[in-house]
Amino acid sequence: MANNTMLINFKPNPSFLGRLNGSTKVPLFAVVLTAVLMSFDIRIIAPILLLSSVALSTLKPNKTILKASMIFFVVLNVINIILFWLVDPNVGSFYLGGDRTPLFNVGNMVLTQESLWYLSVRFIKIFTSFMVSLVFIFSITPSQLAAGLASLKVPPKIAAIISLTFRFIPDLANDFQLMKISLQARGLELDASKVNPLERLKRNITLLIPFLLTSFNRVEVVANALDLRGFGHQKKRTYYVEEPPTLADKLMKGLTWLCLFGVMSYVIYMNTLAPTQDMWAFWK
Amino acid sequence: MTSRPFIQFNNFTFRYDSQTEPTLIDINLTIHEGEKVLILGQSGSGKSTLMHCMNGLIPFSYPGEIKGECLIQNQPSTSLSLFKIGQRCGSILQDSDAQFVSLSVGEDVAFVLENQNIERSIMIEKVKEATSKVHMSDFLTQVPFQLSGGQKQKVALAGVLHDEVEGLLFDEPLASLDPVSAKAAIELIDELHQSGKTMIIIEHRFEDVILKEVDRVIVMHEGRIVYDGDVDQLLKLSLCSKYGLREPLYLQALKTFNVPLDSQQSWAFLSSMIIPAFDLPALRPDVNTQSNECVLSFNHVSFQYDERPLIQDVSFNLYQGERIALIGENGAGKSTLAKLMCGILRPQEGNIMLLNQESSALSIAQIGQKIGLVMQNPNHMIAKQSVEEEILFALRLRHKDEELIQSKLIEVLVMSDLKPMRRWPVKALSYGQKKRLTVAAILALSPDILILDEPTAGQDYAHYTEIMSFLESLHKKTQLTFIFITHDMHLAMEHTDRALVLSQGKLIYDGPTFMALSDESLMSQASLRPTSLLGLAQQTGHDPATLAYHFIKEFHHGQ
Repeated sequence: MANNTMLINFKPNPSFLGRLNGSTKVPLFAVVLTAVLMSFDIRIIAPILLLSSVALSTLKPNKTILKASMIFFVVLNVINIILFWLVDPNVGSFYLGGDRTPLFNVGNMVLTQESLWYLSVRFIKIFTSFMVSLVFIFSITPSQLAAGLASLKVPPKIAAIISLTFRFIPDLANDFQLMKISLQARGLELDASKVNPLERLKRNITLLIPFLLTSFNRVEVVANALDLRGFGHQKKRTYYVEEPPTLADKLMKGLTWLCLFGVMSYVIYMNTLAPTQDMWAFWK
Repeated sequence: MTSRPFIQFNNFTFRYDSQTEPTLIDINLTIHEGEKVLILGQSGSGKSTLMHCMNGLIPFSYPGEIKGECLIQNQPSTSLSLFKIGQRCGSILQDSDAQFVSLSVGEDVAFVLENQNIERSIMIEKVKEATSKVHMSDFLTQVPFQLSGGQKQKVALAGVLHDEVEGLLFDEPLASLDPVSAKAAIELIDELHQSGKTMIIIEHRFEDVILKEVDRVIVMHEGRIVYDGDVDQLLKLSLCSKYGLREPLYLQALKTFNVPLDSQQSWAFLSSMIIPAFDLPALRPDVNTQSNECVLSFNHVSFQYDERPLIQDVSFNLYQGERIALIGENGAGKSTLAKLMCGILRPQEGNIMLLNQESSALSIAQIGQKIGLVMQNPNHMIAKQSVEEEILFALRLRHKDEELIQSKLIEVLVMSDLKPMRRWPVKALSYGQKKRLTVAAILALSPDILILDEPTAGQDYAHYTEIMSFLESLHKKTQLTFIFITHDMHLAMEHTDRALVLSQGKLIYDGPTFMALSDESLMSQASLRPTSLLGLAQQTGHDPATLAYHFIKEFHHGQ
């Protein structure tokens, strides 16, 4: 199984972001993602969207995977905001101080300027969080992720479980493939053109039993391999992938702190001191 | 050699908590520092448990009852910890893939250092040093999926080589390696032994390990040590067959031909043996099976993946009842060829005829009724919980008539000697029985061709014999065409008539198996290692093909 299959990078991406340390990247993304998720302010979200688009392009991700996930996400979100609007056509007024400026009618429902604004911001916000996550996924290796999580005081055992999971996903996928071939050759039809999706799903579940059994066998060996090499012997551990911080690492760390302060003060302000504050709109 | 004991067992008995009977009984054994010891024994003889006692998994990971004592450098293992034992004695496990727990070579070698919270700059140096000892310095950034089994094993070895570890424990290091990598592994182990380390090797591939000298051999049988001495005595006492081990092939051959051997000389190294001359009858050509019906033919088949040619212009015809060995090194295209046969892959050029039908017109399931694929790992094939259900699974998918299904089920159960176990849960079966079950499940489809991918990989001689004699008798009863995909030259020689040798996707040989295995230049062209029969032929001045031919004939006769 080669590099970059199923979204996971096993080798560091050669770009600027890819070369950053895990302990730089994980906090940075954590802060940026929190910023996007906690605010409904286009003045914060739009620049992040712009930056993450630029970042994504530097990572040169696999085009087919990117396109497929993009389409999936956009369609899902469009449905989501349409449903929001159908449930309450006046949803925007609630967030924008009760104003109601009708734009036009769709059937017997009204689309207001406020709702259009609210739903657009909502769409951009969710899309941005998706973009940030993509940048994160494409720029980090599981080992960097483990090192990064450990730097955030996540216990090394939990960080290791995460990176071990990634380590064995391709092996498990390979096992699954072999079992599928074996059962197909014995007459289990799994061809999409010949079996309806529900039946295919059921038949794939048949495969799960042998799959789980082989996976359990592996667990014992992995556990022994970990024990024999002193895993968990000390509370703290170091990371081979965690290189000495470069200038880029230091700069990005500074940026993370800056963001953290900005975001925290904004979030605290919005959620505690000004809970009734309306969301920002360009005409207000 | 120093005489300081490294590991010492005194009247040691061990019973796993989950079992009623002890697995190790009254073990008395001292392994000295700097020794190279080979521990032999068939599956279930207790050799893996003995290894667990040496590396600390017993008592720290597997609970059980210990009587007597196990000392590691004069300290009871129970007073140490897994970590402390690991610092003195590194373990290399059998499954080279599952023990690769990190995501790159460098990280995996560093894993033990990471756990010791060692500073990265020191770690980098140590990783460099350890990887250079196993000749893997150029692979530091490689991910596990890019490495072969042999390379992963070297990484595991480097991972425990830090800090001047005193001893190294190898659990069946050759189990998943092809003959050429196995030779390399044995040479590397010897190289590290020369540098002064204590080496403990647990194996059942006896002949492969003694390519390089070992100081002592210990044979385990039913939980006890039944032999503790040098290789030579073990061979001369003919203890191998008694304890389910395979004798070196050259000795088997010499005994088969009734050649009297001088017991004053060492029998451990063929090249230094003085062998009296013996006569062999002239080579007689085999009965031609090619008058039978042609069941499968490849016509100029090519297949490439990502612009990398995997199979190039391969043509051959297989006839009913033939036993074929498909051999070649890892990556030579053996499994691609098998996938093409089964319709899992389709040729980009050329065509495949299956019983006079164009294979491209058939679905995988349709081809599966004619060509059965028995995979290497039975766990990849068994989908149901009981023996009966497993065989019925494919039958029910294809037939509606319950009477026909039941009669076919009985037929297959009888044919594969599984009838008494028909209601057993799959979990209760041994490896050999599971293998038989997977073959039975395929036989239920009444195929014309059976492809067996490494049917005996990782099995000791007793299980090897069990599986192969089952397949032999099956072949006699059914006259199916058998295709063995294998690295095991012994298997190819003893159980197949014709060999297809692949090298870099090309078919470089198609003819009698014994001729292929006796052809030194062909073997080296295909990166395969000839058996010791070739060496024996060279030393005694016989034609290698004649020697091999008569050996196989006599050997089968003897069985």
